[in-house]
Amino acid sequence: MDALWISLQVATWALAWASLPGIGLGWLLARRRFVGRELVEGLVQLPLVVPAVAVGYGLLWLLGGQGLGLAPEVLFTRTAASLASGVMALPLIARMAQLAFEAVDPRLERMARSVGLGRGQVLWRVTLPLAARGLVGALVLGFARALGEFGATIVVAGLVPGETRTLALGIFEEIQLGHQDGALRLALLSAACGLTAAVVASRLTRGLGHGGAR
Amino acid sequence: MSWAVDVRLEQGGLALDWRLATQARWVGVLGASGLGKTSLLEALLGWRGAHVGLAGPVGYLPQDALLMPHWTVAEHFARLAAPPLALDRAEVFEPLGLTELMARPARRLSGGEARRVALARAILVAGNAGTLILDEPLEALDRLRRVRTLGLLLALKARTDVRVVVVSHRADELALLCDVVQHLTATGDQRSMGAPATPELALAREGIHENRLLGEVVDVAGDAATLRVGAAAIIVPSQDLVVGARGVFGLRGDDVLLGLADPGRVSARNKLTGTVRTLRPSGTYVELGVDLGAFDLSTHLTHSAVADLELKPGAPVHLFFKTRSVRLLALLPPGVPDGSV
Repeated sequence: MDALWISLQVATWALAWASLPGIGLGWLLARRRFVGRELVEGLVQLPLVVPAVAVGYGLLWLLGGQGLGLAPEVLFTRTAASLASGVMALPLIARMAQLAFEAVDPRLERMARSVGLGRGQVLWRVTLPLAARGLVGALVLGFARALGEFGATIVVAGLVPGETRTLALGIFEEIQLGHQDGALRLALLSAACGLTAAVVASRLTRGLGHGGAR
Repeated sequence: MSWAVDVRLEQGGLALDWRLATQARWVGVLGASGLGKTSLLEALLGWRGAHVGLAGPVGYLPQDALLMPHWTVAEHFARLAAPPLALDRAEVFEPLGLTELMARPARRLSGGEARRVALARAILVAGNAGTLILDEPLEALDRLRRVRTLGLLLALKARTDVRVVVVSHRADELALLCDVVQHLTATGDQRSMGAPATPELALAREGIHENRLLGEVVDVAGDAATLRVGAAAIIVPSQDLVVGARGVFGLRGDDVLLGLADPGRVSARNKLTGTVRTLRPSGTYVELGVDLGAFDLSTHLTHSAVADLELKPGAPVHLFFKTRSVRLLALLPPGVPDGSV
């Protein structure tokens, strides 16, 4: 149960890092045309297409003393695990948020402007409420992604019992030690968490794409 | 100059250059559906194509209403920036039948209801001195709602300085509302906008020669109502009418019969006497203007009928027409002066 508790904490913090940038990037990509848009889109999706271990190595290089050394003290802590999970969840959140924003008819936003609402009011009273279901779905899927993160986490957070031993890392350790029962138990636990998140996300995102329609 | 804008549209293979420069405040655009009228209006709004930059507040009634699906009807009116308007909100909401819809979320309105809400929103946003852009404002309205909505728009025209572009595929609606009517036509992908025409000319092109009568209902008995038009009394169908109601009525020139003597007992309820004022040949017909004292009526006769009856200016004539020939076009709300419609 320790591993589940650590996993939930790590995933919550990962979501805390990744949700605002993810939703912001999603909005930017859905609503703004700018130079280098494709590059930004590519960079956002990068963690999805390179091996997670490579992302972990990148983080290690940014944080650790061998590289830029931005924050060597966080390596092999729960913070490092949540950073790694957050980076891996970000592309998913950004992509889902982009789809949620794209499902809102931009003519509705124009109409809202033309009846006298300011840009901020349009975002707050029109765009966000209409995209809300999709955005919550994006966060739930991001959370599930963070919950199962392994490759990047093990590089920057290692396998510190009671500190960074999440469900995914725990399964790996149990297999290494030849503890079939323990591995199975943790695997079933992660499957239950993932399934719950998937069901919640699917309920929330159902009907997405009609967000702007009457 | 009420209008001085240049709308250029090049989109999806569709091209149009519309220079709108006119003293007229209410401009009608007549055109069949599928010509890209919505694109044209959204180009005028600056939503697509080169920015036109209309000054002042602009109220827009789009074909698809564009209500905020998660707001109630009331929220649509509570949250808009509304400049001064000579009409009370109740005067706008009542003819459109919005009062009972106020608490309803917009996503649960029917298509027609949503468009009525969107029309009221556009009117309130434009205020007394703004711009109104209306895409088929009378589409999907039942008969009574249509005549009341036309009355509301005529009241708006009489009591405010709002300038309007209204698009419709019905010449009779545009002729009733607008100062000029322009015809949108297509040749392949090229769209062209005809020169501004008077409402009468726009109607004549559609083969409609209609007299307009402004009258007040003085009596309703069974299926007939008595209308006072100037000093004359005219019998009309009583449908939708109550005593005291004022409306604009249409009477087609083709429905008016003319004789040199009183026809005696005939089924037509309306018999009026007057004198020929004008005789104007138009194609195979002669357009005859008759002075009835209280008002003028025009009717169309063949050349042979004119010759046979030896009609000349000043000749005394009898006109008669059926009750059902007089159609209610617009039911006016109170406060519209007689001279304004």
